[in-house]
Amino acid sequence: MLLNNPHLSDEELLLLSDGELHRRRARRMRRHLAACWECRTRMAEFEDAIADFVHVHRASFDPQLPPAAGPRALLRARLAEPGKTTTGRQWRWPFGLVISARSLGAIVAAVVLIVAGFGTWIYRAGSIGGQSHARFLTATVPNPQLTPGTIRPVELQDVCAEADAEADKDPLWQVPIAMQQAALREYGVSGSRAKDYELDFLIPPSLGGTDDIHNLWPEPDSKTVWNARAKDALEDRLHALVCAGDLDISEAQREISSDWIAAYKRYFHTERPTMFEGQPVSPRPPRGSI
Amino acid sequence: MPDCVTRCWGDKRMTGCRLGMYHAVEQFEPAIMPSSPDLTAALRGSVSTEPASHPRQLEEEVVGLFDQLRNRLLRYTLSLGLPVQDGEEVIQEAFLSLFEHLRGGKPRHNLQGWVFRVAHNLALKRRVREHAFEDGRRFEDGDPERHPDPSLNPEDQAIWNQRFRRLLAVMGALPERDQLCLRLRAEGLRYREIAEVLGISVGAVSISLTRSLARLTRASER
Repeated sequence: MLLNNPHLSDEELLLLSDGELHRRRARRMRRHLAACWECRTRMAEFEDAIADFVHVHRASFDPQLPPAAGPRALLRARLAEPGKTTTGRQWRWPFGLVISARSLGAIVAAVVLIVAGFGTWIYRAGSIGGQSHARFLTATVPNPQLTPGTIRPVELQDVCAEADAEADKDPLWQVPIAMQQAALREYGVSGSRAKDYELDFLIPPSLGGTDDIHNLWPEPDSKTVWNARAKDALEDRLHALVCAGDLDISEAQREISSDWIAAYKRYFHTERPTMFEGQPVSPRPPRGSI
Repeated sequence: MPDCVTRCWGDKRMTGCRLGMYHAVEQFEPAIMPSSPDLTAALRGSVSTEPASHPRQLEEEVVGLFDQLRNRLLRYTLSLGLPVQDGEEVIQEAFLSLFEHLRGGKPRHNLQGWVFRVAHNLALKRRVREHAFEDGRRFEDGDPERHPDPSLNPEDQAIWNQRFRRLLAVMGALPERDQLCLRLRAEGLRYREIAEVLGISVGAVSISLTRSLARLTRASER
């Protein structure tokens, strides 16, 4: 939603419809939709196009689908057959040991990974002062060695003009998935644990942060007091203060990257984030009250 | 907007029905939606179900996932240009791989995305090997007159047939990647899952879907 165009773009409508928006942005879009018939009409047209597509997609292929009973029985039989799920060439080793090509590949890969991983561990342990265990700490405060925060040169009018558009857009959309996964791995977050975290920028793009792995860290989503929602509230507050001319942007970047929890306490005048329906409630202090 | 409707394009048929098309959709897919809340959550990765320790339990779990995903996967592999028999074999291989994956104690997060990714890769390999439908099966294969909607009167049916063919033409003209994004989304995958299956960024998925739907919207308005 741009300042000179009061309506939502097609992409915004689709993202909202599909539940793919960052929650703050979704709230703003829903407020706009509630007031704008034109956007609601376009949203309805999109919904119709989706319904049409689903119908055509299924009508094109469903008549060809045979019943599932036969393939299900076949799968069940193949699963029950011992040793039949692994296919491929096998080698016979001394003492009767049989090893498949896949297993051999896995062993070779494991050896390579162990050697490479040990080298990386030595390198990182040296580079971060022997605190190798820090790689596996996922906390409300990012590891400054892994996530010091990175910024781009910005003018005040750039970040403030973006207030209703790019700055509020979920910036992770532009970050390659490989980089996101690498950031999670650095903090030892993998598999099902990932759902408890929200990958976030330490310095948000709305304050001049960049989409660099050194500016990314997995933030606890909602199960801790100092979670992603509290940080969102701080980001909004700092952005508002910067754009109102009450806070220098470099100072905001320094505050949020050095200790965002301390910054939250300072800017909201509270020791703990106040929650209401899962969202921090933080009345804006009068100008100059910092 | 209810969450299930937001997340599933299949359910959008309940929100934008025109010309009674949803009756036809229902008759094609009476049991596509997962029935077990636990299994649905496991597919989505929203919970990590307890791993089945006994091989028999694991078999049951894999067969249960097969029941939930088979039609969606088969439709997707057909759309990639594979004949039905090859599509079935790809799905069998994907679920045998899933069995090995789970038996090896590997991550159980988002099994739906995992199975789709494996099936996608296996289907592409097979397509290259068999030189079958290099560009995937196009939408021109659908024929609305083969499956008339009994809820429509002849006049509405004729209007719908005309519209159906126009939509087929628009869909058939889309680049293959845009078609795949649409198809994967229609099969219930989220943007991140689609991105992982196709090896593109989430932003690229969003742009692709928006572009395609804008074209479809314009086609519908004509």
